Amino acid sequence: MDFITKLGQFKELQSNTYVLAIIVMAVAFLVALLIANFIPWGSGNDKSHVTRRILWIIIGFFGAAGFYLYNYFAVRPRIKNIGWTVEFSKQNLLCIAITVGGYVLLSLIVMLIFRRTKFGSILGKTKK
Amino acid sequence: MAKQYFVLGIGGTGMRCIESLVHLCAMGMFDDTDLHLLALDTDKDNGNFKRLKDLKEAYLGVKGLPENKRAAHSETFFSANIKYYQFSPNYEDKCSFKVVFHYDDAAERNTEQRQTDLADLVFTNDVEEFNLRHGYRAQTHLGSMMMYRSIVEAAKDERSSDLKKFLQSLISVCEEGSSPRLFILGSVFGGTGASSIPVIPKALSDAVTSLSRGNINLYRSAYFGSTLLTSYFTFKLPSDTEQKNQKIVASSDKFALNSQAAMMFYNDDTTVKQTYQRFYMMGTTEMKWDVQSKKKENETITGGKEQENPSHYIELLAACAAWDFFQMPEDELKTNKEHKKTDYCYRSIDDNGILEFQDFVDKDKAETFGKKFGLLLAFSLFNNTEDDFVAAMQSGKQGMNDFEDMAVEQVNALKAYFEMFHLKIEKDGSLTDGWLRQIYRSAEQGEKFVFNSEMFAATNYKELYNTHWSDKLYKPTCICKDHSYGDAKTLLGYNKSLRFNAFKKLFIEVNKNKNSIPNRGEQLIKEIYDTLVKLYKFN
Repeated sequence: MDFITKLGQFKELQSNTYVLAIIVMAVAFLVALLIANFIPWGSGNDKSHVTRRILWIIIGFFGAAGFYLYNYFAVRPRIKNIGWTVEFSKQNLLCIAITVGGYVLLSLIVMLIFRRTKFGSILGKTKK
Repeated sequence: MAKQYFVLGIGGTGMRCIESLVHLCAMGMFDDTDLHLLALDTDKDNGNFKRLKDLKEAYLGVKGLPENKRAAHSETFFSANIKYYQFSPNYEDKCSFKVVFHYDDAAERNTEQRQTDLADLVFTNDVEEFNLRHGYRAQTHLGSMMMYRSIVEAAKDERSSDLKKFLQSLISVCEEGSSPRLFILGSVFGGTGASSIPVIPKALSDAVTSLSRGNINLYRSAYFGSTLLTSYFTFKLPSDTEQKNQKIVASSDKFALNSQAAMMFYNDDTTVKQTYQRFYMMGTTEMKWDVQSKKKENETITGGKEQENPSHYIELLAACAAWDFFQMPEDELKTNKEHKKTDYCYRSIDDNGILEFQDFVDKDKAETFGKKFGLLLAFSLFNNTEDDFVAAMQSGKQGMNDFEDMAVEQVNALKAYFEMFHLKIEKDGSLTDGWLRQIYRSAEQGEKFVFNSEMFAATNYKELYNTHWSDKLYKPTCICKDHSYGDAKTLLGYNKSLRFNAFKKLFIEVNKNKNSIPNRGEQLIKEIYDTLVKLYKFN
């Protein structure tokens, strides 16, 4: 295990964590997009958008939670300085906001632009 | 302006031929056409007559608009604008030859003795006295005269009637300088149809002359075509008691003989040849189709609401003959009319009895026919199972909410139409055969009909929903065999939900730009048509 012992290493870790949060958010978004397209349209009273919506929430939740837990259990113990550990914990919480917020925002934009696609159907039935 | 075509269906067989013709219209075979259909039967309570009326109601219900706003379209289902008329001679009060022609009064007056003598010479007493409410009962010599009289009298009658509206449409076309085309559908072996085919052109012409006060001569300006439909079905022979009670009763064992005599007449008669420009001769080698086989009646059904015979593929063939007649170049008809020449058309099918699309229409049109027929079948399946697309679109259950302003009556009419076209799902999940399944049965089932037999294998709702209509619509030998979509096939086998998924995906893609049809229901149907055309890779 490589320990974080120097300030330069910690600052690099912080930057990397933000970048990783954005990557996690993007990956979660792409997974949600892919899975939404894998779910067939339902015939008759179409409820397939409900399934897509549930999966979209699950993917967003597990993406953010998984990243938080990874940071908490795999990264945080590598930091030796207690002050930095506290700072990293705060950053980890901020990363949840970044992954969840970014995931929701990006999804909403794409859903609204492509309203009649399967991903767009997550928003529910269109209103005239 | 839409093309104006006129079709007359006469008698029970004529009704069923019109039924097939309406289904051709639903397939979209009559693009940009106003089709004037006159259903003519002596027996207005006839089951087939009622079935046709229900079918017409459903078709017009799908179009959705009041008559004056209804229009013909092209490249869609239900494209033709059907104008339906019906006419039945009134035999409620005057129900026999003797009463209609005041035979007894004439017999009493010495001056008219010669007329009654003439009637007695050509008609037996039983023929003069039998009840006409169930038709002419294969008494064509009587029927021709009665039908002619009924039509001419109805035209002279001051009261408004469907027949007069039909004649008025004919007059309008003539007044515009066009030559209307009239096609007559009926059998040559039964009663009403066989009686009417020889006299209908003359009767209509005289009626038009009377109605237009001598301005229009239909006989000279119209083109006439007809089917010569020989015996193809049978029914229970009347018992001795029935024969004794009813005196005159149609008997299917005479149909072959009647057909033979009729064909000789149509081959020889100069007047008929001068009148008709084209005849389509059709029939089956054997009379295996027992129209009463599924019923329990012990009596022979001569007419009335009980007479609701199932459809036969030969009636579709007759409807296709009408379609062919209307596609003919006018020059050919004109030449025939000028030279008093009649074309006798026939086509024989393969010895093994297998029917293909090219047996119904010309070879170069077979793929178009196969396409439109197949797509309507697919539409009926997308609309008849859990994939009830149109109803879901109208009620907003498909999540697109584009067609919530479509009239619910149109949705119901479409449902009713498909129940008559293909099948009806009963409350217990069992299936009642519609027109298509009936004609499939008449073609001796198996792979003898134009579609894959699997399309007709389902006996209940569950099996129907499991039918592979995405990739097994057409049979492997058919001209349209390459038209399918395999999107429902997965490594784990056939996936029903993927079948619908592919349809809806394409529906969204194809219809990004709305078509120009103003009526919402017809607009949706056109969108479905365009989607199915692409889905089954027809362009």
